[in-house]
Amino acid sequence: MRDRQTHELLANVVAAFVGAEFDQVPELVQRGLTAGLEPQVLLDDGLVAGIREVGEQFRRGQVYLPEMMLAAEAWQAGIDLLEPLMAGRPVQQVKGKVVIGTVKGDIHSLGKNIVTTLLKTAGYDVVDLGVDVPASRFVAKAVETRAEIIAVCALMTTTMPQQKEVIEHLLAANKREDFYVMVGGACTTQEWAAQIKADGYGATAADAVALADGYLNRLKRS
Amino acid sequence: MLSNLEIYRRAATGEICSEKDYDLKRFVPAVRSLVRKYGVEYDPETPVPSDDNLADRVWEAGRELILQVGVYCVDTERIIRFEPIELDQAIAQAPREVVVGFGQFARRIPVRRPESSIAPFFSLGACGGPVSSDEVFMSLTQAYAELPYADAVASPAMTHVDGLQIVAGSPLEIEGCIRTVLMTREATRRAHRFGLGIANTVATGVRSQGHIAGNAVAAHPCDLMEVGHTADLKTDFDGMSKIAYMQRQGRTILGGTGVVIGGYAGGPAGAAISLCAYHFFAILVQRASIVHPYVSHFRFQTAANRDVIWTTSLAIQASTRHSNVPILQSGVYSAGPATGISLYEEAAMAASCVAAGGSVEVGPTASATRSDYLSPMEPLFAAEVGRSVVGMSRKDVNVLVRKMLDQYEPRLEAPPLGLRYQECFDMESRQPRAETLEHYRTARAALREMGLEFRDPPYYG
Repeated sequence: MRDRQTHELLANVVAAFVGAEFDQVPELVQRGLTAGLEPQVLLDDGLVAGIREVGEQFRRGQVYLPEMMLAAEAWQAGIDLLEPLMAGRPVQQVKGKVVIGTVKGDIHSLGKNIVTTLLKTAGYDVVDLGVDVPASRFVAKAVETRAEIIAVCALMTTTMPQQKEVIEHLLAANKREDFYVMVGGACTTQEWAAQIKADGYGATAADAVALADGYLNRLKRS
Repeated sequence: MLSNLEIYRRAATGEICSEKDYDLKRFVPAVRSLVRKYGVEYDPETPVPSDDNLADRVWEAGRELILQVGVYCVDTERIIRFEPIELDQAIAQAPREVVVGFGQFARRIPVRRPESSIAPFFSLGACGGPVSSDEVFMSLTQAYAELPYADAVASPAMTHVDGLQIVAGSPLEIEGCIRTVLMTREATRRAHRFGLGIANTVATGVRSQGHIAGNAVAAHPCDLMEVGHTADLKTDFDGMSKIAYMQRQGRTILGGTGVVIGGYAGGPAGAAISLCAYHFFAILVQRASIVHPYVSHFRFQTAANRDVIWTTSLAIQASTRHSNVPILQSGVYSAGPATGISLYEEAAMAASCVAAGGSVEVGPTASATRSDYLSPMEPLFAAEVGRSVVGMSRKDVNVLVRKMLDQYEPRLEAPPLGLRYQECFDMESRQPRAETLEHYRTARAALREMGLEFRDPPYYG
């Protein structure tokens, strides 16, 4: 049974996320540590619970990208405080690693940023290559970082072919089987994903998280 | 007004700032604070607002936003700042009443105000919706050009050149851009409307080199070239290069100002403020003679979503109450042709924009994602409805738009794909097939039932 002070301190961390008072999160985490709360408790019942709530608000359309990104920043600031106190234990359970980017010739970043933020807050380690990314860079970075998933964004009909290029570069490097490749972006469709033999297609940012979760669950089972 | 070179000088010498800091530490907090300061509140029950005071507050908030955060240049990672007097001069000295097209088909894009009785300008076409072949491109574009209410034609995007898929930044993009303009002009000739202006001349291109090539080789000085930006108050060298070329050629720039509801501006209230800030951006940075707002939604790939209609209508009202630069709204719509739904989607947005004081560009269907899922029926119907609401009060149009929303809003989660152009129209006669015609008749009857008096007799059938 938790004492009233512990309950209040944790509730305040969650409330800071829910009320979009993200600047307060590090201070509240510090206050919890000063009051003697275990770092693991602050992580699980403060930061994780808080960011989950923001994720739910996003799914319900009650908050938008800025809140998600600011929540992710606040989460990281909180983690930075807890990490030195965790005695070498991993601070958070990383589900998997994703390399993401918008394809060569395409400078649209917003959709990619939404997917990146949702993946991060869902527990993924995300390597964001930015925009206008050549196919070879997706492959090289995924190999270098030992990622499980490559997420390839394209917004325009004339930049979609670059998603196919990423798959062809993987085939040429004999690495196609090493990665789950998911594609998305305004002009892309399920049919397009099937045509270029991508492993997954996400119409929305939330789909990307579901695809990644589904793949890693299958991977664990196999 | 500040010169283009002065804008570049500021981009090269302004305050250094990372893009992430600009987004999260400057833009986002500023928008959130201005939403509160000016009391801008989204009302989903009033998709077409009629509160002039609200419109004025949104305008002031937009002005304050660009003064506070400036414009971010992605390539120099610096902020372009403006003084209040420079914004005032931009509004006072900006072009107005632009002429598009030439000869007997030259058309004026008028300055309108909310509830104006001046007829709006209609740019009808695919607006960048993709097509699979030259045959579909020609027949479809000729069909658009034949529409009697088309004041300009908005080209489709080619996806292939002689069977080769166009890739952005490649030589095929240059070829595709040139062909797009040449074929669109030929389509106007075949429609016996040679001289009709082309809006957004180079729908096929992404990069500046494609746009410049298409315009240099094939466009007429009285066509419109779009310079589009899709990230709130950000510019880059590629966009600036198009502008530099167009300025030296004396071309008319359509300043595309894209805001995403759910993006950095947040919800509808923040997006409306951002769109007003973008109005100044369009005049000063894009050197636009026409502001071309397009609002999209992070969940729905349609401009006819209720949030988008409110945002667009309010921002257009705000802009047209304070600026003489004409507005030509644009957007994509989620349902495909021959579904009925697409007719209501495009008509609802057209009606709301016309009542707000704008002109309208309509519009690609099936979210402009699938080749050939386009037809002349939706732009035609939207123009018929848009012409019929000229002079109506915003309150009456709000009632009408709400009734139209009832027809399609529940379907937006999974919009029907419909039929390809070659399936819903006869490609040779460019006339609708029976099922397509029936959707049109049904929608006209439904709109009459909703209380709309059509100004024109039905064009099809």
